[in-house]
Amino acid sequence: MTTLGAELGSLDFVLITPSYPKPWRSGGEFVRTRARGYLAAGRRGIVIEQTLREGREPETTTDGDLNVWNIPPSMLPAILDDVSATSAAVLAHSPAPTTIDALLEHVPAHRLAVWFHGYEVRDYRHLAGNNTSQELAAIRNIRDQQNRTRFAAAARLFAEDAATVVFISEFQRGLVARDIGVTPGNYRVIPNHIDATAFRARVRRPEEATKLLLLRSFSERNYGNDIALRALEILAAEPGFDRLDVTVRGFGRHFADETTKLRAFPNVTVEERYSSPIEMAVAHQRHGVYLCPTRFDTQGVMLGEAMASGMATITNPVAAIPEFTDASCSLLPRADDPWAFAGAIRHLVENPDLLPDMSTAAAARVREQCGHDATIGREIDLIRGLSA
Amino acid sequence: MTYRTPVLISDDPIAERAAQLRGWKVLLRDEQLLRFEGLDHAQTVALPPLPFSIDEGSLGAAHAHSWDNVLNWLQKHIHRPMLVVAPDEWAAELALWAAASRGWPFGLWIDGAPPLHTPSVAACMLSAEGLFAPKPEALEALRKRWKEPFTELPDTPLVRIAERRQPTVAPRQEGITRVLVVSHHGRMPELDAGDIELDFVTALRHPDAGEREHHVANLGAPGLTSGPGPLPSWAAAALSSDKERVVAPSDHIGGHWRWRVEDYFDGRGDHYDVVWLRGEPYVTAEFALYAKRRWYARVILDPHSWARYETADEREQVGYDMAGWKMMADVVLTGDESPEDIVALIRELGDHEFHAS
Repeated sequence: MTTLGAELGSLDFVLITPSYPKPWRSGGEFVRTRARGYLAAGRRGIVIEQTLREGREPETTTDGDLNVWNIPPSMLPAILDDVSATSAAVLAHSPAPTTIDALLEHVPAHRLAVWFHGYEVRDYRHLAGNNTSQELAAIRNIRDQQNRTRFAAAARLFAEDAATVVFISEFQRGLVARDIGVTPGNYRVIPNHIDATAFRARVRRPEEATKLLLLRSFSERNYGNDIALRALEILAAEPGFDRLDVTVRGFGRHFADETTKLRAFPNVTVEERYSSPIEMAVAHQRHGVYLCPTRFDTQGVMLGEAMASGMATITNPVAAIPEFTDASCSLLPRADDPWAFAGAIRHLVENPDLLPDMSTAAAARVREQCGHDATIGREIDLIRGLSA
Repeated sequence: MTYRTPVLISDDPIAERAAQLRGWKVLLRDEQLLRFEGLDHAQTVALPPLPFSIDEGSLGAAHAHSWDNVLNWLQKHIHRPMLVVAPDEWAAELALWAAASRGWPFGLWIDGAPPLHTPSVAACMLSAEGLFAPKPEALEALRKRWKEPFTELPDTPLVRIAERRQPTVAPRQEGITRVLVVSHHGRMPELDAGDIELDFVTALRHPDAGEREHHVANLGAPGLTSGPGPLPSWAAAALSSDKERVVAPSDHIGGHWRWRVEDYFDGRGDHYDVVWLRGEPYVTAEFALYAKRRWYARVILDPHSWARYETADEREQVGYDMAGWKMMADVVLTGDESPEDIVALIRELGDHEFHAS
């Protein structure tokens, strides 16, 4: 047995993920939230990420009490053999097709749960707008091949009734069924956890309707930041724009270009940087309204976190968003329409008395739908069943 | 209005003679050299490998500059050259490329009815300024097979090119829903609604074109570039990708037209609330990406295909592609909609109001 193998004997779960967040690398926070949640509930487990270059020996780091192993992808089958000799549940997040094949081959299906978060089983053409026409024409065949490979691997997994498949929204489950043409026999819908402790609720006052926050990744167009920014540009040409106090914060390849026009306004603060969850929570507390445009979200965790903080939100009723908010919590202008988005901002500024009720409803809804019991709690029940 | 000097590129002695009688320049191929008939034999230019074919790499890094050199040489010796080429011979795509990269108009000489079913020949036929037919029976044969309008080039040493006006730029207008209808070779639909303004863009030059009809030439595969030098890397990758597909845009007449349409609207400040894509989806459907990114437009896909797909692989490819186009569009028409249905749909799609519930 490897050193890693020696650690496996006493575990309740082994969580396998393509990558795990590091102080110098964002992404995958939803995996970290889960793993730490399981540990906090008394389950023993480790995380295995697969970002190590081939030929290297496994490396281990810790994240609090959690051991995180990094391995080269080719080492996964041997490690899964070691895991299968134990009673630990195997929890795989966002598996690549080769990982799915390794899981099916080396892990007893009744001990396996696989989480799909979005891109892994989505026809890339739902988000075709993330690329320009030229980019898409150039990469089309590569993406089509990815579709075929991913869908075939997912179909093999879905055909294994003993394995559990977890989707984060009903929308995602339906979309996967349409794209792949197969529905897993054994699935659950469990949303990502929204940490209501970190994102503490505060009821917004009407006078906070003019304090707007746009805090999103600008790495892809499906986040829709351009819609909100164009909306603000529309409002900037109208009387009263100077009453607004706007913060735009984010990072990613589109940030600089998209924010160019708004930088000229003294009442718009533009900050190009990553925000940790704590920094996000602080930004929430300083503003009343969260602008969360979107073209596609399989859940909308950023929206949920802002709602948990008690912010009034403006978002678009597309993809999974209607599962996680409604008109009592959010204004929902139609998608991909800066003029409609500007109309929603205008509506809230002109009707600030809406804020307290929206704020209260949002905070309550998130806690019920994405709080610990509805998410981590259900996943711990699942782990118990898998490792029994 | 400008005057252009026709330059015939042909190996056909009858065509050469007829062109010379009109006072046109004639380019002769002398092994791997090009020279002008009747001029100093020392005035030659080296020919890159023939034919000029995008598919065979004429605009790849190895040969593009040599072809640039050929056009530069022509420009040096001839005042405002206008290539006259056979639509199914080696210089056909060279004329299309001269049009795409330098804006040179071109003419076609025909010896009989050309093989009209190929996208490249169709691009030449649709985009040429006019035809030159040394044998009158060739025009008769063409008329029987080609229903689109065409004109003959005048029998003069210089050809007058009239300036073609495009519609004035129409920006966004409150209270009006602006619609762009995109159709490679259809006609502008008629809708009776005062709050809806239609623009139409087509690759055909209609003699009776309306005030809001934009003409964007179909320049075939050479239309993937708009300047001298090699094809942009994305275009080279796209063409290479097409070759690997069982059915691809490049198999269809107008399959590369949308790149010209994007280029055309990039240079203008029009706004459209709704874009209505009509005809063969391999020609128009993916303009949806541009329409959404450029104008935040709602997209109606109105597919009509006359193509016949014989094999299971072809039908599978078309089914897969159609699924993707549906993802890019907001509405897909079935063909059963009445004009009233379309008007109602456009009004709904063009509504930018925020409706608080």
